[in-house]
Amino acid sequence: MDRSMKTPEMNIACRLNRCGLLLGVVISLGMSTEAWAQQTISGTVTDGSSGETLPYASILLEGTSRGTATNVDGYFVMVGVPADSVVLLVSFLGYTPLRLPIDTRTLTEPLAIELEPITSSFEEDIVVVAERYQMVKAAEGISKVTVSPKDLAVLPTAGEVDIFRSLQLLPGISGTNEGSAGLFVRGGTPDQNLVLLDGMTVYHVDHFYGFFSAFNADAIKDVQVYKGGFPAQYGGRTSSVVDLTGRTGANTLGGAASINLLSASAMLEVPVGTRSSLLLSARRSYTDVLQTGLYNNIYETITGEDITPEEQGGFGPPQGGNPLENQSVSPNFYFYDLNAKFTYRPTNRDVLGVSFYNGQDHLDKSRDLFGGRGGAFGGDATQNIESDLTDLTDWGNVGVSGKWSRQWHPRFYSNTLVAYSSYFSDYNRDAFIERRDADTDSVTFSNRFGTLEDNRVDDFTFRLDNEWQIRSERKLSFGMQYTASDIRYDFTRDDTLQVLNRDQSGQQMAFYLQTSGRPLPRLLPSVTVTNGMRVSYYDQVDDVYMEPRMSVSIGLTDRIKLKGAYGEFNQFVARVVNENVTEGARDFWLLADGDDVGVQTATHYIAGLSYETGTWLFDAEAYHKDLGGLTEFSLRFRPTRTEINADELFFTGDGIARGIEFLAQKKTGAHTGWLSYTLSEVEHTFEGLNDGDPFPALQDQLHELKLVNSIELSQEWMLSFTWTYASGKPYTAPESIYTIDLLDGTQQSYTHVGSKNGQRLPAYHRLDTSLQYRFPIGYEGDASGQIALSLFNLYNRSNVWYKEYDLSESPVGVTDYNFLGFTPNISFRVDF
Amino acid sequence: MILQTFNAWTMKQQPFLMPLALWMCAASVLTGCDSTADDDSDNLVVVEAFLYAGEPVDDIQLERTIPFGSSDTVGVPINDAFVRLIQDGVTYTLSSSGTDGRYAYVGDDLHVKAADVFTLDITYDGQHITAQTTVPPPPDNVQLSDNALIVPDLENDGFGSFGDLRDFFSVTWDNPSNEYHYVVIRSEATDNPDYILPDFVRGFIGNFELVTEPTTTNFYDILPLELEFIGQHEATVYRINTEYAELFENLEQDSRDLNEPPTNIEGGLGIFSAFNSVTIPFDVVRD
Repeated sequence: MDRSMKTPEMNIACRLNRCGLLLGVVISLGMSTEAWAQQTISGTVTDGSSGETLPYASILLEGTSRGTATNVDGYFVMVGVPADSVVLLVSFLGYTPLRLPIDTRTLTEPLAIELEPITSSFEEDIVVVAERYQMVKAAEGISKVTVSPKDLAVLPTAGEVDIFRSLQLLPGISGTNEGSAGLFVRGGTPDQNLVLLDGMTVYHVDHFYGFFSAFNADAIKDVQVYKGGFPAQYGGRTSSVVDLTGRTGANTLGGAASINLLSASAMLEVPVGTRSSLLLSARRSYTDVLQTGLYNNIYETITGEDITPEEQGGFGPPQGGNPLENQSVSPNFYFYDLNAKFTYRPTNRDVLGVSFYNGQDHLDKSRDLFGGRGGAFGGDATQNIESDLTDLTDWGNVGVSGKWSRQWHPRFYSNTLVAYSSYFSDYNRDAFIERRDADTDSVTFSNRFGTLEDNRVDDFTFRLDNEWQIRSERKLSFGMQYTASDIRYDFTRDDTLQVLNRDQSGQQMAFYLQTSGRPLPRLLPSVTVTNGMRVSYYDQVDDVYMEPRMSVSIGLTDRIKLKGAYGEFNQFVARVVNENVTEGARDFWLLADGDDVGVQTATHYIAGLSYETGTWLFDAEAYHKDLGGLTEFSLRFRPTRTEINADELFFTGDGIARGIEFLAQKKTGAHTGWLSYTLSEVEHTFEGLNDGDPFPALQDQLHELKLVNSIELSQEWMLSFTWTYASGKPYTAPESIYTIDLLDGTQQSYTHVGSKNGQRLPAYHRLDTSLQYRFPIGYEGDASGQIALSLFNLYNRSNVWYKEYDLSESPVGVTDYNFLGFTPNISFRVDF
Repeated sequence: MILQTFNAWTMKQQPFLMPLALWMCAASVLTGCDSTADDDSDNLVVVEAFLYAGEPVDDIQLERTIPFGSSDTVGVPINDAFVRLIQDGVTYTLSSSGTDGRYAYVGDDLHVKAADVFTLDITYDGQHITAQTTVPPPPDNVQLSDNALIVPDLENDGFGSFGDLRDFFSVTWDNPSNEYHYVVIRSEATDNPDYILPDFVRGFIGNFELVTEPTTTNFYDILPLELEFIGQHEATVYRINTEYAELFENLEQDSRDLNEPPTNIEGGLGIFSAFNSVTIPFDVVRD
């Protein structure tokens, strides 16, 4: 071919190939000791119907315990495969497993393996040849769970198909946080979870005050959850990792649209040429246009306010004269999220991708009040009173990532990622009152009070991840990560009292090296060990952190596996708990500065045992975590008459989290699901809180039991229900009042707040159920529809969310704010 | 036969029965022990104890906190506590009044002096409450701007002289580090008091007792209107310890985050503090 005839696509391919040549030679030299009598096979695993690559799919060599998994781009390599006829067992969550006979001696091209989605367990012609999971795969590695987002629709929900809500049904992840989509994993808090969407860090995962997560399940194809002891390529968090991979788009035009009583969403997959694809998805609530009963229920649960309040005067009852002009105000609320992903494969060895995400929530409860002549606030008939209340809450995330994945050599794969992520949370409640003389219009009284809280996080990340399959039993992973973060937080009260104002910048650099495989394949073929080390430097404290990681898996028999993991973890950014006894907490992000906010540390010790058959999985894991550098923020101990010294409002401490989890899962058949039980304890110790005595953390729950069932009644009908029970969570409460006679002759009444988290809410339990009907649409049936009826909190349990105290009453008024009661929802979906 | 039929039916309905049975089992067990740990046992001791240099120990009061939900508006006095003051290794046992929760030392061997460190030790209902305070030094360089405060003769000079009631004189002290002080103005009781204000005015204005709020300044301006009688008075300036100043700073509790008032009482609530003072006499005379 003449050079001038090369297409741009081929030019890119040539340049990339030249770049890889030298690296390939180096790698090949490194592998010179390999026994080349054996074969290396590689390839990709994709969805047979859409062409979507399948990350983390399992490939096993039949008759052996050897296997591998695809990487995030669906690519795999298996070294040391006998030069003979062999059979590969390929499986992926939610797909029909494949038994693939191949002759490695005649292989000249990478394998292109296609898996078909499971459509029904009633299809008799399917021969189950390997493990066949639905929804959740929990036995892959220690503390690791894989979730299939496309199968989560069968679970009952309060409104939306929700990935994070579904994760809350797993053992070790608290399932009682209706007010937060964030995950409380093994005693950790949501900010201690590293949440990655196509490599970009997501700082806040809540929609609608946490009733739904910010991720549209239509845009996600795979979710990997590490509940602890996670590998060395992940860092910067101390509790867990949730790694979400967005869909890349199908090779044919397709899409889906759905609507429920809260929101509508659409997803479109567009092939662009033969080597590119585009996925677009959007979801928006229509709550600002139409308020359904479901929305009203959730809103009233969250705010404790009526959605259509009674005629109100704004700031208390008028005390004489003409009352303020009353207005009836309905809050304006909406949320939306957008996902876009463009994927381009210039060569068979390269994948270029750009992913974009934007999600936002907006709540406006502002109201303008204009009163004629009024007597409120000391006014009389000669006074005009004007007032307005601004009450705005906005929060959201914006993120974009660009990734280049390159297979330099069949055994060497690298990912280069550049990502930007931004989170903002703005709260502005500002009340303004002005009284004017009715005749002269001169201002006789003016006051402004309220709360302003703005928090912004900007995060730029560059990371390089490499995987080198050195030998058949040994894989080397290494890479680096650079993150630059800017965080701003402004907390002002009553227009002038600046409680806290921070503007921080920090950088961290990390390198990691990790080996995984069978250290003694002949002597101990069933022992798999992963060893890693992550080294981080954080400039705000000018220190280097060593983070050793290790996990071991020992197959005692074909069915029984012994597991263990150890790891040290550090976190340089924290979502600080802003304790508020009477109104609940409002948290904010800050960078660790080694002073007010310490670098968080955690050491994980995990041991487990699993017994697995083709149908059942029984799994138990015990964990112990030592925690350090925990931070709380409280105004509870501040002087009220003097200037606030912000340093005195931060409290740092440490803690422990420990527990044991049990899981019994039925993986296959018409009836699938699981029963899980977690016994756990989380205890914190802060020198400046609770007299230095240990106290239970807010997320501490002794017992948690979850039952998840999905029953396929026929090819069209699916019934599912979940039941959750958990011990009551702790809270801090004002307990008593007392008076002191001051020296100036006055008597002052004080409220005594009880011991930190010294009270317990009642136990939480809830039953949800859903019924789903699937049907073909169109003459050829190439589209499908789905109607689902979901009944949330079926027996209308009143689960207490928090208590509110009105100190202006005597005796003090106590109000229980409950989570959602019985809430039905119906949804309709079309896939084409 | 019936059993076989039942077995066949259960086999057929197995997908429904198993989870249902599991759920019913778990629900009955767990909700049966559904306990609310709302621990409302709060019976803390509130201490209100003040020592004054050079004065007898008789201003110590104990009462219990008022639990939420109680209809009480004042705390129940504690009259049966074992209360001791310890100073320099010597223990002084205080006596209870028996009715209003007040305790005093009846002996004459306890002297409160500057720089003395006192420990308050209370045993009550199995609780052990302690607190410590140090008697501060007296205020420095307390002075009056004049020897006497001259007030107008309202009855003879008429109401035109009311404006002169705004004239004041000052008590001052050295306070370079802005420490808290407060001022008490007292007048000696007489059988035939000579009031500053005419009877009909006095009836409207009411009581003239004067104890100032704590201040970090170095002066207090005494207005004639703040006083009651013509005659001998005395101005006492008290130096306040940190624990009382902090309590004063926290007079307001913000319901938005319910700040806990500071206390130097271990095992209880309230305050144990000491004061030292300097007193200067002055006359209030009619113009």
